[in-house]
Amino acid sequence: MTGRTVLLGATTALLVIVLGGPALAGDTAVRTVAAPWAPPGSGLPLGADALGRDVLARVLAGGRDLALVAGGSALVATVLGAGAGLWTGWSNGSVARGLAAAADLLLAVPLLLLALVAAVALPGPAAVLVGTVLGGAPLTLRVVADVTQASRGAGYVRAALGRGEPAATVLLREVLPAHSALVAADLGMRAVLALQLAAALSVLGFGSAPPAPDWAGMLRDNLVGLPVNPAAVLAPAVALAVLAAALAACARTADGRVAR
Amino acid sequence: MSLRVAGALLRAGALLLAAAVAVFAATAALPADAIAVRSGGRIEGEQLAALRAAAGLDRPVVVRFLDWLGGLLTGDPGASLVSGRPVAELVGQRALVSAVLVVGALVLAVPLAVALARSRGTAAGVLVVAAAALPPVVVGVGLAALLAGGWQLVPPVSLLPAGRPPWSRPALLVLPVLTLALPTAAYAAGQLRGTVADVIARPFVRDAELRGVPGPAVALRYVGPLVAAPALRVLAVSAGALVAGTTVVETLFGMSGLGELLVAAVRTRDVPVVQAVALLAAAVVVAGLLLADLAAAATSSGPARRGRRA
Amino acid sequence: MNAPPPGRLGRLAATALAVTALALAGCSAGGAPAASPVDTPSDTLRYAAPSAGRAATNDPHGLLPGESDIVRMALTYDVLTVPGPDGAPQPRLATAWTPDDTLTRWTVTLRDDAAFSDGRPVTATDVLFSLRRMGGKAAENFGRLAMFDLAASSASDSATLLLVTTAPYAEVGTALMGATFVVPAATTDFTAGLVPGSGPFRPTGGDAQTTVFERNDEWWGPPPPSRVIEVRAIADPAARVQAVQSGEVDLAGSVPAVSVVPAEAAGFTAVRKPGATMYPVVMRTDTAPFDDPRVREAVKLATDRQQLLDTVFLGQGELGNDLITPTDPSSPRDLPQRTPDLDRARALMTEAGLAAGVDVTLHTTTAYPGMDTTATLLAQQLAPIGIRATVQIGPPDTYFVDVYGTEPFYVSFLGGIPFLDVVRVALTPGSPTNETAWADPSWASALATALADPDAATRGDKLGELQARLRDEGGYLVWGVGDRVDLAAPGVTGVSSAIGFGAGFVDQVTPPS
Repeated sequence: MTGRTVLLGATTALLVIVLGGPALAGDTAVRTVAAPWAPPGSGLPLGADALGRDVLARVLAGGRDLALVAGGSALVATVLGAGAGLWTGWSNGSVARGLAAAADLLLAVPLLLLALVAAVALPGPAAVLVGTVLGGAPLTLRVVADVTQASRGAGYVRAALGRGEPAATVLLREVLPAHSALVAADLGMRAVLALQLAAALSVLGFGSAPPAPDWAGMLRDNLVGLPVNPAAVLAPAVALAVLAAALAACARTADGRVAR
Repeated sequence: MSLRVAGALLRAGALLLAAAVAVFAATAALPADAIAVRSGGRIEGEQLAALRAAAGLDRPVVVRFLDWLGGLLTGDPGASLVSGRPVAELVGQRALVSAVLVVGALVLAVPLAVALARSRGTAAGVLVVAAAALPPVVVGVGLAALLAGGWQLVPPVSLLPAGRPPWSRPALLVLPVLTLALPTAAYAAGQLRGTVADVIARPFVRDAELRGVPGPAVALRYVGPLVAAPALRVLAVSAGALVAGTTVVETLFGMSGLGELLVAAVRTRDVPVVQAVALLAAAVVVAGLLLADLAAAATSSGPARRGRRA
Repeated sequence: MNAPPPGRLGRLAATALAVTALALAGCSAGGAPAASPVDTPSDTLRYAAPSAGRAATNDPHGLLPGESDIVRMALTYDVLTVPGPDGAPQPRLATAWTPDDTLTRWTVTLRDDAAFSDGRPVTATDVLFSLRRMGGKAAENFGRLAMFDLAASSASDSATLLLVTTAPYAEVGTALMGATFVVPAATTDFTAGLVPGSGPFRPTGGDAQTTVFERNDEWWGPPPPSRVIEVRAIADPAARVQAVQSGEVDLAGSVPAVSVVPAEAAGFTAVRKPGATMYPVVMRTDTAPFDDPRVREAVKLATDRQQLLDTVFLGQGELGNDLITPTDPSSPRDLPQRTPDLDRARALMTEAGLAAGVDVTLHTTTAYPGMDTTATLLAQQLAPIGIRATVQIGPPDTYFVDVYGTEPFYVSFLGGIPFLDVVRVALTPGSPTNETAWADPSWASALATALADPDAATRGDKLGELQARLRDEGGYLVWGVGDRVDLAAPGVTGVSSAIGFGAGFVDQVTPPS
């Protein structure tokens, strides 16, 4: 589908810019080059922030760590959730039912509270990881468990079992690939969750360490300068929004649920 | 039927208890406790131990939890470890503000979600998921820049007047409620779009439409029952997320609600307060899930046999 | 359960809701946020006070985490003395304080016309009870009354208090400038609400964020111009600015430097208080590499103070000369301003054996705006002399537990308190908050001598010498002193120009007419 290809292409390009940003920006992202809150003008297309640093350079460089943390957290959450979901949907034992109940429990406890507690005890990226796993893995578990349970009676599964393959092999080499689009979509949504958590924690005061540029941190630090240099806070906001929206759109088109 | 109801109630109660345990365990595992934070390293040794004992912090975790639980069941959620003020008073002062935000956001979000869930086409679908993915901070900053900064329609901070109910100044509620409602509506719509489209495409619904049954009747008697359970489930999760989302919104717009209390309580290791707020949020979600379960039980004797999960 | 209405109606409903929301916004705001949209009576002052982001406390003798708590206490209770415009103690509840020859037994005379809100007169028994309670809570209030032997002190009669100090202490008036809030004797419960006080206002209600006070017409002091004061505790400095500019409050305390110029351009008044905010950098004198005084001096010489002042405080303040309390009356005024001298700094590093440089960690936090900026910029400035500083930002809530007084190199905070307060908190050997590990015995004995000097002029000179020695040998890098700026709506006057504890007194502010 053409629209889908365009979307995927654009997101890939975005990720390349985000991951390569620090190389593009160089060390201008951390050096003071102008007066604090200088408005957009000569040499500084987006003006300067609280320390007189180039906002454009910081926006270019500020997505990489965020994207890596979000991607990493999403990967861990999806692997854990999908793994547990495969097992829960396959076996009907009490442990599996217990896992499903635990997943329900995690959905009931407010995620932000768990993330706050984690943020108080752990450094920023670790808190995002913990929060994404606790908040996202149960959802993945639910979804994967549903499809695994439904596919227990499917033809290809029965054939594989008939060939004598052990359950684990069947799950990993037959069931999982059959639903790879679903899992890929889930991965995308977890990454979005991780981004949202990082932004929320940052605005609540638990954030990343300066002077490293970080979009979420820039939102928090530059909000006070909105009347003087709005670009300093609107640019990272737009960057964050675009990344989150692109990831979500890709995730949804991956499992084909959007097009009707 | 009543067995299902009893089962659902039992499940809800167990979930709530388990949530309380989880939150207590998480807060108890934090480094430093309320006394250490309050004294800031200025007292050590015996004096510190004496203060800890006075606050009951030297007892094992299980004992402290059971003590708190016992107090809660008799109607006393304890006192703040930091200021000594009753938790009920602290929570009560702020609950109305957060409740107004959550209810306001739901009131806006439900019709919006309904409208979005019924929309067709890829472009609309992409828009819906993109909107749901926006971090609330970004939505809040954007709305503030637009409504308060650019168009100057509302004040950029929502300082509610003292002594009067929050709804006495509706203009102050616009920014926080919109910031909460828009992503929630998009999220709910995204979750339900698939279900709604599937149900509408069902043969018996088409059949009813072709037979000339009026639109509202089709919606109520044919589509409604099938969508009820998953919609309520999504609503429950959304409400829970809203209660947590008020934290960010209250910080952004300077409001004194439960979210602000929660952040401060976590910071100062004020365990009784954290427990109370977290349990309140969990209760909202559990109540919603309970309603969803009851609705599933009630509607499973309708035209469809299976209730689909969203 | 109502099912969703069919498509067209649904879309219409959504649009209608959105339009209604915006229309409501338009109606209520009146389209001009700068005008006060609420009918507030003209005798009400609405004050946005800096808060620490925690639930308000009702205990005046414990830890008062934010200025909003101090403001609430200062309106409800009387204190014994207050800082005057020059920093010297002015009488409040205590009208006179005279020592005996040993400077250890002080006779404090109290007003006889002060009364609590329930009608009982304030007596020396109440004052002694309050002071003893403060002494008992020393761990929470930084040992404000550590110099007094409260057990040996007594109430001679209803208006006279006999205070005993543990050593000769000439500056008792200054010592009582702390939060010596007077409550009725034998009060035990401070959690149910603010207990009755004898101050200029009485608390009459409010909610989680705001406390409403009404004027106490029986107060003995100058009649307050406002009949009602609403104190609103707001932790975010930017939110306080927006509150004033949108007309929600009349006065905002301590606004960020970046907001001042745009606010003045919009017609608001900026009340400047010089010398209110300092972010001194602490170097522990008992830990390498800062145990070598040459390294400390190198740091002081390598710092570009002007750049720090321009970036952190946007130039709104003064260069610091490494004097720990430059606004104190006893601070020496004639010392030459230290200027950057990178060559000499490098030479000192070489002399100290660190020509190859040294790696250190510079801790900071985000508790006050600009603390993290200070560390980042200072790390840049120290790199040329071989000090490779890695900036580590700690969370604000545990910073003052884990880092303050513990780590060897970090950014601290001082808010305009008198020199002797700093001495008691941070310069006494053996105190848990002696952050620079300052333990010079000759300095300590010179301090004791100064405090035992009954003549104010010579005492002031001696205290000044102590501060000059600290400047050269101590572990504090004071690169600048920032102005505190309060933002007032047009018509608000009478904002106190005092800093530190004195900034908490707002009873003489005139509301906008």
